[in-house]
Amino acid sequence: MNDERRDDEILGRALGRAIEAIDLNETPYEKSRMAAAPRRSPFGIWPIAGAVVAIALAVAIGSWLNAAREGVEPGPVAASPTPVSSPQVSTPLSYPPVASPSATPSAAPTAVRRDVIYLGRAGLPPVAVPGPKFADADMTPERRIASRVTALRAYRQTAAPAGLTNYLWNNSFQGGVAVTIAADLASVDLLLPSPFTAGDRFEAVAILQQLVYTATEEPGIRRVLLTENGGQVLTVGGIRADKPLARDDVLGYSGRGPVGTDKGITWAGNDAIPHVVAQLASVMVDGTTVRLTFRGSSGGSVVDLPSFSVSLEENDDTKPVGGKTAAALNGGKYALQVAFQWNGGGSSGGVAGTTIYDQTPLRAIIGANPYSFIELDDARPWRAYMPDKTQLVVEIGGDPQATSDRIAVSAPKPGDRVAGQPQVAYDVRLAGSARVFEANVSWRVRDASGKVVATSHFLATLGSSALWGTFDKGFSIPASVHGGVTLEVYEVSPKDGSDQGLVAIPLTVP
Amino acid sequence: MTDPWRELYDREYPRLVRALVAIGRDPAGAEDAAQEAFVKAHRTGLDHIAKPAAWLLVVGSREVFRRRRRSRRERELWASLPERHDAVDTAADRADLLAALGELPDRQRTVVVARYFYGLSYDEIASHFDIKGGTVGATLHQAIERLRKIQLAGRLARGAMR
Repeated sequence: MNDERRDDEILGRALGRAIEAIDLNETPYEKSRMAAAPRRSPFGIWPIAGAVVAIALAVAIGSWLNAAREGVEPGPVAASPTPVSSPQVSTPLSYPPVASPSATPSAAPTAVRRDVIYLGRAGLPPVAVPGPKFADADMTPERRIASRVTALRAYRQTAAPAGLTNYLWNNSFQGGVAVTIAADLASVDLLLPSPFTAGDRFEAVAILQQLVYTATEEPGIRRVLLTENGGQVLTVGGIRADKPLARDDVLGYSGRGPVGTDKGITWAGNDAIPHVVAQLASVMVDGTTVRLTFRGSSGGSVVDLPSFSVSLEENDDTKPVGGKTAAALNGGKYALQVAFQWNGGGSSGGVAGTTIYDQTPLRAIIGANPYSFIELDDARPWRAYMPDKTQLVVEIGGDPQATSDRIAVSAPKPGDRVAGQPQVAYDVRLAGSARVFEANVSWRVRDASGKVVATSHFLATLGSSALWGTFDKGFSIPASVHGGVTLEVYEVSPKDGSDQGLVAIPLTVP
Repeated sequence: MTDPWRELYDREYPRLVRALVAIGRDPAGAEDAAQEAFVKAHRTGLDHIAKPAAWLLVVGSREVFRRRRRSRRERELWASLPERHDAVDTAADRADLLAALGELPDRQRTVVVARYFYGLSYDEIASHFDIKGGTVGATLHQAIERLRKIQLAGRLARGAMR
């Protein structure tokens, strides 16, 4: 050791002794937070099947939406009968309730409708409504895009379905659109006497979402460069749209869902049963979420599902889906492909034929046994879980504030008001799905000042497997807490203890 | 049967809090961060943590910095640190050293504590704190060099007041 190094060592050790001499009020083990935490339960170790890739596509727009949402009408949340402090009990198979089929296919349509425009919702993805009446069938793509964008100006707010807002109506845009197309990019120049006005960030994002979704509705167009007054950068409420935007750039989620066969989910089901049909038992669409339930059936009785794979792919929406079926149908910008193993000869008799929905974000479901193609408007996050061996639930979307790459909370919903008059603490239902290390889902509640007032964790049904696990548990808020609180649900990184895939759900306590 | 968590807590907690006080210069925040680090360790499970002491220091120090960023309050707390009833000069020296430590950038401060208080090796510091292997020694030397200068300045100042 040289002199310099020795001198460093001497001073370093003196420092070590100085730190050792710092006086502490030692918290005994019994009073530590750890000792107060519920005991960790023994649970099978799931290998981390290829570290879940953190979404690098985190678009700034997503984070703007993470603040408390304006104008959400809070509904009451039923207090949960589930005791919060019993995660050591072996986890029963539980899952979020699946709504009965609510989607109604339109009457015998022959094609996905393209005469639509998109209306906005603060903090949520936009929703399509019937828009322009195209003058004739042989209009050019440029003219169709111009017609749709112009229809955004003309669509009166009073005509909008409940919950949807046309943020462009009565705004600066008075018509006047120039459109050029190069490959999959449309350049849309708006004549704006004055800049767009937006009340807040949510409105600004909603305006951009409306413009991007509407302009890219044209088949073959995936991106749009928005400009104003002859090629100047379009600015909406401080957001500069200075590059071509795809729908995935303005989704409002923290990232888009995994795209590509290699990022899909494959699962080994029960292939010992011959002739199992995977029936599409229910389809739920609410503008934000699509939930499909497949059930295994053989000879009229419910059986285990065979092996399957699920993956989301980019889709060429200019081509009829002839490669999949004979139906002359242009699909969505993306198609989620669900493929079941067919064990046995003959027809699988599963999902067959084409059903058109045209309810954002679900355009159509094309059944071509043993495949189903779920035609979608965008690549919002998606997941798949099995409530039991006979059912597969494929879920697309979810509330952006309650959805991350590894956690999706279905209850409570952002803006909910917690109900009850507890003595000690509110016990609130916490349900959803997750794909996290060892199925260990953590939660904490922050009060309005950001202070953590409650925290714990529980196990989902599955851990870091390809399929997501589900949970239907509870969390607690001390009765002394009032006003706005934030429920944070997250994964504790096994590598360094940091929070991963955090969702922050604003709630109100009376 | 002994409880491995209690054992770990009794052994590591005091050391961790002292390290975090030295790193974060906020005794109350340090206790909070240490508690949080143990809760996180508990959730992660001992099976998955190769070196619990170093893991706790990494997670705890990150917690300290996170809290400080969030609250945006950088308080001068060395004045309020409890005095030890040792020989006056020794106590003054120690206070000097800790005060000097507080002048270092976050990263240097953390590495110094990991090396000289926790006794982690250069390799361990490199892997746990995501620092390039070759730069740990240089970082330490720079840090100590600065400590020496600051400490010297403090001594001179005190000498001038006598």
